Amino acid sequence: MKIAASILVALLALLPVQRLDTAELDRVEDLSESLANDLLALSLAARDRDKQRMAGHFGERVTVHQLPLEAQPAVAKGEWLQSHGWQLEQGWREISRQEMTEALAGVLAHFDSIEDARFKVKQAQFDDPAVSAGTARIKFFIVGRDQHGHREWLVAWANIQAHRVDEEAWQIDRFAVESMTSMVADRDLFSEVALPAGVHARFPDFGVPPNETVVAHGAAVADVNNDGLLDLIATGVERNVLYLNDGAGGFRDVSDQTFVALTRPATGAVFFDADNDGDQDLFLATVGRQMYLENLLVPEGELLFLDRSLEAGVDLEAIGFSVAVADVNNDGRPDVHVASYNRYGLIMPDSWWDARNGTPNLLFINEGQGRFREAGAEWGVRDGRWSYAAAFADIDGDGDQDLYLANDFGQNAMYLNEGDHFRDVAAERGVLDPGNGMGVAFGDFNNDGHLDLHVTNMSSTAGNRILGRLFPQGQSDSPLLKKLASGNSLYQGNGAGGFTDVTQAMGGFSAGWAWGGGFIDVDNDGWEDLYAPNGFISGKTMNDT
Amino acid sequence: MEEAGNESYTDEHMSAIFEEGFSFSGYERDFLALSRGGSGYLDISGVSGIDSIGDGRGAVFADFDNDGDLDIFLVSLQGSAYELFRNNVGHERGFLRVELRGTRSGRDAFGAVVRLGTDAGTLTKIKSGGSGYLAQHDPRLLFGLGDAAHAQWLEVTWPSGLVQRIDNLDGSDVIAAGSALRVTEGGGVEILRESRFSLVDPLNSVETLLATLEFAPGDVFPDLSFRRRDEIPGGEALAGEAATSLHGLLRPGRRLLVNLWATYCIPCRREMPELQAMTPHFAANGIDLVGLSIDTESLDRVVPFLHQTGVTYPVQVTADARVPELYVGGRISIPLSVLLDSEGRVLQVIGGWSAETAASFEALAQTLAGTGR
Repeated sequence: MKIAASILVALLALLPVQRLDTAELDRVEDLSESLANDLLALSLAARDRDKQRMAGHFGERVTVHQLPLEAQPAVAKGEWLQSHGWQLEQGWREISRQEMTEALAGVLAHFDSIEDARFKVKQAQFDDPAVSAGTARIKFFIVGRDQHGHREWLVAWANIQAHRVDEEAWQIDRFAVESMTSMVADRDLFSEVALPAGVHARFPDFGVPPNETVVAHGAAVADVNNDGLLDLIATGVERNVLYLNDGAGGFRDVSDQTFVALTRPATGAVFFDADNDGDQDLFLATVGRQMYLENLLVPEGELLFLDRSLEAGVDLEAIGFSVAVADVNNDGRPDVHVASYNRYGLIMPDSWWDARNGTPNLLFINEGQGRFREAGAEWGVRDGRWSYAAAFADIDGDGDQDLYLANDFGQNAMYLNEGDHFRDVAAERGVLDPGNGMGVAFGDFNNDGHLDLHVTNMSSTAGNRILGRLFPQGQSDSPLLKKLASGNSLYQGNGAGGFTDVTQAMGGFSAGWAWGGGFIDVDNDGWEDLYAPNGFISGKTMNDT
Repeated sequence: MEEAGNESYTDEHMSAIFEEGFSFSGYERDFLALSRGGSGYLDISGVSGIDSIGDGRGAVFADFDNDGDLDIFLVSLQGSAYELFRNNVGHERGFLRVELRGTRSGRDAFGAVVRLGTDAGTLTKIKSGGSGYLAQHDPRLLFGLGDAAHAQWLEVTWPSGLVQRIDNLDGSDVIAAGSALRVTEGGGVEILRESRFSLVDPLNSVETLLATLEFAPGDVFPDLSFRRRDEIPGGEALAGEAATSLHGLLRPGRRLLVNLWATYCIPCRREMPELQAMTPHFAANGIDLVGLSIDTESLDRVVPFLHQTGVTYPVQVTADARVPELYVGGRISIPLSVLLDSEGRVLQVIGGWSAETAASFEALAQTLAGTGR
């Protein structure tokens, strides 16, 4: 069974949930997963337009409903965005396996190239334990380019009935299309240019040394040489890389000559002018000792990052992840918070929804003269939660910097600044956001002048399948269960520290296993869009464990 | 609370991942949703071009080329771990960039909030010293102004508590769309002269092949290895010599036209009969044609595909997995034809299938024939 599903089942067993039969849940979820993996094989066959392999996933006769016939004319949805429906055949009929395959191939033929095709099991029922057959609601999508070379994204829903042929293989006997629509962008909104821009890197496959940790991998930007162009640091599994913007569309790796190459592989990085001297210094969080590097550009005139961790007093051990910088005590000197996690895999969380065996966050108060004093305990951020990410903002509008922390395996913290310590008000402000917090961002999504809050979380197809089975109406009396596996959260702020969860009102953000991202107005229309990179671990096979 | 039993499943699943190559919420496509005027979101992930399939972690938003829109740099868990997405559309609309120079708040003034009054409403952004996941975005704040909006006023709430308002932006000639301003805490506003440029263009398919396959300089096309004939069902019927790699097909005084295709490629199905018809003309012009399939999964489809399309010219199937990987990753597209000289250097690239590419092939078939060479 999938890990996410196992976690959920383990968790449900500990909660006072009615009608819970974990053995039955296991049985049904194992079947769901087997069917899901079979549909992944169908996905690859569809991507390759291999009719013979596709045919193997259908029974000899297939009862079909609303088979797609042809694409309908496109309707404009924006300046460069269109959508079109698909004409669907009316009524039910029975067709041969070959006819079914041809019908699917006909849809695929609409695409000149197919980058990805995917059939996913969203809900499945296997009511009779004596029969290896069941029904499922599936979603399928195709990402590719149409005959004009435009990106097209087809999304469809269908209800299927399938029977198990053997341990691995299933065959679909009924295929009823519910809906099918396509979105088309008549130009490329983004182009991937890492290789020609000189910022390409290839990491070993996950699990191959030294790439054995699932959670590092950050980046930060600033103009480090004061030439008016944004430079970039990327943390990595083997080295941290500093790229200087060459002003001509590319970057130059200057890690060696700036001494950045001497730093240990880091997790989070933030550039900041620690000494207010007019250049950007650098803080690097690591799993190990934290690092502070002084930029010698001012006054020495040379771009060098000198390791001052020891003298500065920041070389403290932590399972450090995101770095967030702000002046928490209003003395004009930027202070540094390091969110601290734990060694997942070696040490397991002591709870899936309220873990307390993480490691303490660090708060470095900048005392000037290149010195920092760790004051996490006196400021009240030294808790045992598994913290991934944090962001500062004056949440309650009282003139000091407050802090929101995203925690894994638990509830998040909203720390209001009380002058010389933080007070966690996440519960009373309704922003606990229980689950697996990964990323935090502040922005004003509705342009009302107040900062809103976006938190990335995981959403899991398997997790949602299980919740859907337990709560068919989507109703659960547990706010925790509602939240789990449901995806990213959006909280509307009122400027005074009050927040309203508007996730569902805005349509929900089921964005997979999401990490970073947040508010970004990609099209400059004056409204914040939302972006979230996702995915936990892609193995050699698409089959999920 | 005691949490018994959780370690066991983790071990089990982790070993499934490590030893058997299973995925755990893998191959997810990244998410992008467009705001519908603040009242909802439209998921456009699949057409965005930033729906990377890698295991994305930290992402930074920054206008690296100062062209007035936010590009995205993404770090992922493995493989091609750094991706740089150039924004192609944002800069077509108006924008205003605000850079903050703090004094009492410290020079960076992280946590400062800037509100921009426009005729379409108030836009609010925070200058953050780290947010998202392991990320720090562009320290300058970029306000998109839409198609028609004008900036009217600007208000900075500095971390020190100072609220600094600059009125009548629109009335003065200070602010035109596309401007960049620096506001100093308790001081004035200056206009920055930024150099505007554009991040480099994406590589075309052949450049990607050349760059990714890391072959020697001088634009020699990679010596892609071939599958043996007996690895391909019905392969003994294929025309052409039993070479082991592409360079084995290079012949003195002749050029080699390599046409990359696959059984799942719809445009290839249209293009290959045309190439077939031109084969005698190519030959007369000193050009050998080879079709190079990048199929990996369905080798039994290769020979039937050639029968269906009427192809009798020499065909090989590459055994080099990197080429199909690039295709699946969306980094190259097929059909893709490369004309090589007798040393394997790239003379010409013909990508895609269109009236234009057909004309390119016809030129190869005719021009030289006309000169009698």
